[in-house]
Amino acid sequence: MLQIPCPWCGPREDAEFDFGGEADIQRPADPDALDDAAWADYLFMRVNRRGVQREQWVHTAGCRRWFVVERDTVTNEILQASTMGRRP
Amino acid sequence: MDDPGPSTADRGTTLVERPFLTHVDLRLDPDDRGALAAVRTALGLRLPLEPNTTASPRPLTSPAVIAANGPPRIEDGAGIQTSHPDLRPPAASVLHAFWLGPDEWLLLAEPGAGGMLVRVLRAALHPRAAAVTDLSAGATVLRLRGPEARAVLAHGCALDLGPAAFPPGACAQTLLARAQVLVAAIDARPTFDLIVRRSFAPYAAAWLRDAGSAHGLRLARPRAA
Ligand SMILES: [Zn+2]
Repeated sequence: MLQIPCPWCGPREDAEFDFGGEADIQRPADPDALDDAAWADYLFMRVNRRGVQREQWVHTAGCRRWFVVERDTVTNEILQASTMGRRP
Repeated sequence: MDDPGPSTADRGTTLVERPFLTHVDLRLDPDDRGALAAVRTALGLRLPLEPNTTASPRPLTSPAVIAANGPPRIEDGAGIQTSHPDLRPPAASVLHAFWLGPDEWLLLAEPGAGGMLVRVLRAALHPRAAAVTDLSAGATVLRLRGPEARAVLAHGCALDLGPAAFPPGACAQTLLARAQVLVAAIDARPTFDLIVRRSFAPYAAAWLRDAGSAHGLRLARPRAA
């Protein structure tokens, strides 16, 4: 069983969480300046790195907050968890 | 133990519904000290800021509550005094507050206190950014009590509910047999309250009966409201 450390609730089993993909995606400052390809890249394209990546999770069955997890996708080891907008 | 212990009726592990309680969801910015103070003044209650904890139950006797509960009569257009059900003071009301998230709490009180609590809180928090929502009847409370309570819950809950990790006053939103519940440790008997959405309540109760069958779980009758 994978345990995920919610920054508020502490470690809980992964069944309480949902995955939200790549973290730290910035909304383009001037969306009108983007062509379709750049807008599609912002909307849909997510990295899925082999190794350590920063990704979003939400504590669905708990406090219902989104937060950021640093996880090694090869070993499933979780290195960090932090609240949204705050880098550890 | 030396004391004569509970009566025969209290022995063993029991499951009972606490129906029709008032459930109010409160959201505000925990960094807004004025908002926390407004709630403290309005309800005589310090919201628990520590994750997964509850504020110990408090009698609803603050001046704002007494003012909102009275006068028990209102005057209609014809000058006739009529009592208004929404203004009736809930009998012996006690308020229980549960941490749900960094900016969200659940308030539980006796049946019939929802209108009054919402009015008092909205008045106290106006015009701050806050939300007060009466969720009564959206969820019910199942009370599991007795020496086997932890063993019953362990069949379907991954949390450590032992007295060291989850003492009285602790609460947690989690999964019980895949259903979302708010588990609260009430006392050391131990007693747990399981706050569960009404659509999940029949399932949760049926699952508890099944899990409890190996532990002598008995169903108790809700005390008359
Ligand atoms: Zn959480």
